[in-house]
Amino acid sequence: MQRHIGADVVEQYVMGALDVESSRFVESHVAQCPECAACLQREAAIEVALHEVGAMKKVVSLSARRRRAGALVASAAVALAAGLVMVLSVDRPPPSDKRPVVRQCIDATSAADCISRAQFDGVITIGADGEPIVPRYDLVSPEGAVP
Amino acid sequence: MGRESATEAAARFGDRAAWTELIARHNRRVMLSLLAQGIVPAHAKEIAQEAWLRLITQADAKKLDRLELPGLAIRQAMFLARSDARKAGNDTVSLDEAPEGDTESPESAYLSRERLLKARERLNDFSPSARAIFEQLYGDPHLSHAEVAAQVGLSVQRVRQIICEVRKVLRTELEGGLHAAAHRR
Repeated sequence: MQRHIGADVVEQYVMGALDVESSRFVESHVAQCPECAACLQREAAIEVALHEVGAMKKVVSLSARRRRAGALVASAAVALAAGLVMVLSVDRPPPSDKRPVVRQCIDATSAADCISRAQFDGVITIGADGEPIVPRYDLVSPEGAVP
Repeated sequence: MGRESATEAAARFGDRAAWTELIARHNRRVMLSLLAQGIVPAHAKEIAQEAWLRLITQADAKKLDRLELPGLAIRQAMFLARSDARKAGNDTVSLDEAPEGDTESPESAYLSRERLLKARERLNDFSPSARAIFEQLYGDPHLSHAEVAAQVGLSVQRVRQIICEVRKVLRTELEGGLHAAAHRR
């Protein structure tokens, strides 16, 4: 029995990197040498697995895309939240000794007049449904208001 | 593996030149699958040749609805290897030991896939050029060393050196999975 062929030679064989003569030598040797045949089986299995890894590209890319999409949604949510905080900060009335007046027009009989006066005073806004929306950040009301 | 290529379609309709091209491109994958089962090279060559002949015969008889390679050729070759193994006195130890209809359990399949994914992630440790070479050699469709060398403008020897370095790293991830698979048998 000849000496065992090296694992590097077997690796070259499964990679298809050996010339015809060397390939024949490997093939004839493994036919008689169980240890080298086992080495060949191992290297061939690695090579098959590498092809599976190579074929995984699209799958991984898809999951990477999903991760990227998730990250984008998360950043968008963070940006939106930050934007809202900024808007709220900007819209918040500057601190002043004179506290804003909020008027709630809940009495049906006087609502029209109440809203009219409130709009004139600039303390009531009208929502999309046509109903008056009363900002409730402050409930100090000097007259006719319901806290 | 995905759609049928134009060459595969031509082969399915009996184009012999197309078959020659496909066999030249994919026979190594068929051989590797057989060698990975412990079949000696001389016998693996016979099985691979028989597998291709059967596919050509089936195509000629209009019995092939689709031809997606190398998957179909590998399945055909593995079927023949199993048939051979059943006929006593065969040297295909691994196939003899495999139980009838042996299929991977969901747990084993998950672990194998995890190994492959880890190996895939390890690819990120390499330079973009090394990754590109790996993709071209082992991706789908895959190219030969000479074709890759021509594409990237390196010598065939250099391409092989690069891929040997990549292989050395990835095998640490893959061998764990292969040992685990061997223990499960």
